[in-house]
Amino acid sequence: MTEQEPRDPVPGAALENEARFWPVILLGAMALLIGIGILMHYNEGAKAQWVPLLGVLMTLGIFSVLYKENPVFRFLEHILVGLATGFGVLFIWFNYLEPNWYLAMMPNAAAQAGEPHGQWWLIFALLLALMFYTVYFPKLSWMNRFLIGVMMGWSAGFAFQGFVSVVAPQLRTSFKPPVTGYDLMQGQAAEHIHQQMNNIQIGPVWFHPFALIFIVVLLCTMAYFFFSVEHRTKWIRQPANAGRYFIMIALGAIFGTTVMGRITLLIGRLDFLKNTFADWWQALVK
Amino acid sequence: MPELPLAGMFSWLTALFSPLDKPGWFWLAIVVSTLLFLGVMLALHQLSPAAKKWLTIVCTFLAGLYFALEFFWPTTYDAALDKRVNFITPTLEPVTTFVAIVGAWTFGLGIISLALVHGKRLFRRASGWHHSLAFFLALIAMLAFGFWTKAGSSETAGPAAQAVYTTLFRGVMINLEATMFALLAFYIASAAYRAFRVRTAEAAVLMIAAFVVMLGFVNFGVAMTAGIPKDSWWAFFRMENLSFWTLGWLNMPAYRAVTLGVEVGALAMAMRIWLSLERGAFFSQEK
Repeated sequence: MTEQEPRDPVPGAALENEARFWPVILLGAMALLIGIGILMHYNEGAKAQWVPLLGVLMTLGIFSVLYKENPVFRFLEHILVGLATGFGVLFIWFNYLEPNWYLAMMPNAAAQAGEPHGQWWLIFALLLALMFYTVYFPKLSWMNRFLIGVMMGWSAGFAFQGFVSVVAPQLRTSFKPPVTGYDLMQGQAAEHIHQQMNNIQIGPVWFHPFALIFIVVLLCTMAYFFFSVEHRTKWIRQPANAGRYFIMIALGAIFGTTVMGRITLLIGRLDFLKNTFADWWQALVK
Repeated sequence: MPELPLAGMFSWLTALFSPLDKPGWFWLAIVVSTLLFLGVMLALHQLSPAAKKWLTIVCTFLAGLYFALEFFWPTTYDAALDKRVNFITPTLEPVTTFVAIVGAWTFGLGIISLALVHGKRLFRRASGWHHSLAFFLALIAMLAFGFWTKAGSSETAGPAAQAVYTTLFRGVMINLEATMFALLAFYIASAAYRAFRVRTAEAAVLMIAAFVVMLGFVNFGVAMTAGIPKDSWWAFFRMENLSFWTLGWLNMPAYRAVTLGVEVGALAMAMRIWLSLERGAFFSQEK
């Protein structure tokens, strides 16, 4: 086995054979692109073409990593981190902190009825939050641990409510009766084959096989994770073994949906490229 | 946002915690509150490490007790709200909002962390410093033009500022983000190669389930079983139906069982944290 040097020991470091003038070219190109974008904003026709052009450049720049690691990809990766971080701040401020904290706290004599304002005590939210930042000062860092402790206590108390609001409805819907004395469809036509197969009339009762399957799969999977008794006796070992297969089915299904989700994203990008190029081609032909 | 929680219970608190619309009184309240808070923190700072540790334990318990009490305290029916409430219930929403505001302010920790990493590299002119410069320029540009244009919704910001924000957001960020996630399609191919190596019965089951679900989503899979009549009971074996059934009646209960286990575990963990039975980096710091 040959020893291989790690290709990138330091995240974000320059590539080995990266030319020294790359930074200037890349930063200059980015400034130029944004500068042209501002100028183009004053021309409606140009404005409509500018954003797709930039989109194509960005898309191809990121896809270039599929060939090999390169300075353009690295550069765009860092641009993305910067922009996404900045946008995260904007999102938190404009969607949460501004309406719930800033506007609710600041005085506003012209506020409409029901519009929160002048709630000066909300300053304590900021003062408490500042305790998080004491983590950078060792002498004061006990404040950070104190606040984290309080927040964890809050979350722990909230877990009681979360447990009931999340688990109780799930348990109720999981254990639907497999045999009922009534027709689930109540005379309505089944829209799906599963509705038909899950509502079989046997004499005076209706049998719902899928409800039974649901309960069996649920209990077997729970048996697999039930470690309070040793899995030696038949009554626990066999359901637990079946549970292992059911977990595999669930993981397979989750994997399948994840793959399809990623492929959909890729198709979306390729579709964007195709449509943009088609638009440009049509504009050229005209 | 409703009035402060305790306002309904004690009249003097109602008077104290009433909104202030006159700027003079408002800023006086802000200054006094800040000084009071700093004074309390300064006093607490003088405590011994052991006392600070106990303070944290007690406050953690009290913080958890609030929600626990709200949950366990007997309730009565309130016709106006059309739900069962106890004396703590009306305070639940403002308190949760307050806690969420405190939590929301932590965004700065992430920025500081990134700024420290990239700042060091930039000022030392270490390898890849231009990447760090690009990071800072992108961050500052997004923050500056985002706040200037109110994330593109301002009516007073000029067209040039709007143009820069549109260019940064729609032209650059959206496309970079979408393409970065689209790259995962290629990486998941190697994951699929590992997952689909059938070595055991469990791996075979996983592969079959994944294939059934994937085929149910694509036209090719649907076309494979298009010959089965839709109105017969055999229609169950049409790929789209089988895929749907696998997700709804095999994947769902198994996944739910795992979720239930996680929830029970989370509850047990919550109890340990609430009662300060959990030890680790958090409590062991204070000797």
